[in-house]
Amino acid sequence: MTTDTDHFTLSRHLPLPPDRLWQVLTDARAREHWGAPTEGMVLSVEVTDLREGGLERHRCGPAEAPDFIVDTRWYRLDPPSLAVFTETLRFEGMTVGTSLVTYALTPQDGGTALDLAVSLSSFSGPEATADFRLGWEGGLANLDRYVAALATGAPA
Amino acid sequence: MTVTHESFEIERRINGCLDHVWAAWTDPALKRRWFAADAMTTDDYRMDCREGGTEYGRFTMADGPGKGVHENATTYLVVREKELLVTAYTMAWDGRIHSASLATIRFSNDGDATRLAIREDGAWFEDSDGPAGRRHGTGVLLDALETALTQGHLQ
Repeated sequence: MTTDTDHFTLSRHLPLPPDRLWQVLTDARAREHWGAPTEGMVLSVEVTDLREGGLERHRCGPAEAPDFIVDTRWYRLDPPSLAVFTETLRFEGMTVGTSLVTYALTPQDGGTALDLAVSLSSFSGPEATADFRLGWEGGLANLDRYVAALATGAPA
Repeated sequence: MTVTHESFEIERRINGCLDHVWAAWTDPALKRRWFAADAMTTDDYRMDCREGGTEYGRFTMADGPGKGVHENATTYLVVREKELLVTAYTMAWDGRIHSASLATIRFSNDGDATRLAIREDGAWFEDSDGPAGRRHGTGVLLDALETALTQGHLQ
């Protein structure tokens, strides 16, 4: 088994105040609306446990076969400013990769500056590290759209 | 709230065969003998080194700049026999979590010794030991492991 590592940061300005954005980022059911990495993929919650030490589980993949298991374990929750968690992705019993992720939320211009830091260990080849980054970028693009709809009251 | 993200890597040749080094790291009775054994009193220690298993330690430092109660809470994310451990862990000082880390520990044969390659990706919060302190602390732990192995404390 090889191990490849990567670290990257992503930043967004989102038109919701921190307390509302916090709920969108951390609520397991809210994450179903934006957390899938690409169009055509779904994210569905199986277990919720939002507390420090809590373990949550989603399934992810095409709607007809969401066979990836995504485990989120929360390590620090300081609402509405800081969340730290690991996200471990498994497929057919094998660990594909695991990431340490931090959300930092800062009030900005009536909305929120979201700074995301991801440290990744991938066990599925060096090319997979780029896939993880693309997955996060896709998720944040979904988040942009979802939050914009919430901010305007349009159906998300 | 401040957060410092940083990564570091340490590679060390440990004077012990792979079987013994793996056992020292994954057997609770053996690990307790070298992990935080010198500078602190171990108040509580338990571990379950399986994927999804947890490890918890509570240690008291009686004096010095680190005086107080320190807690380590670890989750084993990946366990590959005599090859790889991936853990996520937090450190707390007097009840306050001050860091969360993802640690990757690779084990391999190196002649009659064992090569350990450790990578830690961490988020350090305010009033923490910080990445430099953690790197130093990891080196101290490896020293303790090697001392325990070479002095026969893990037989």
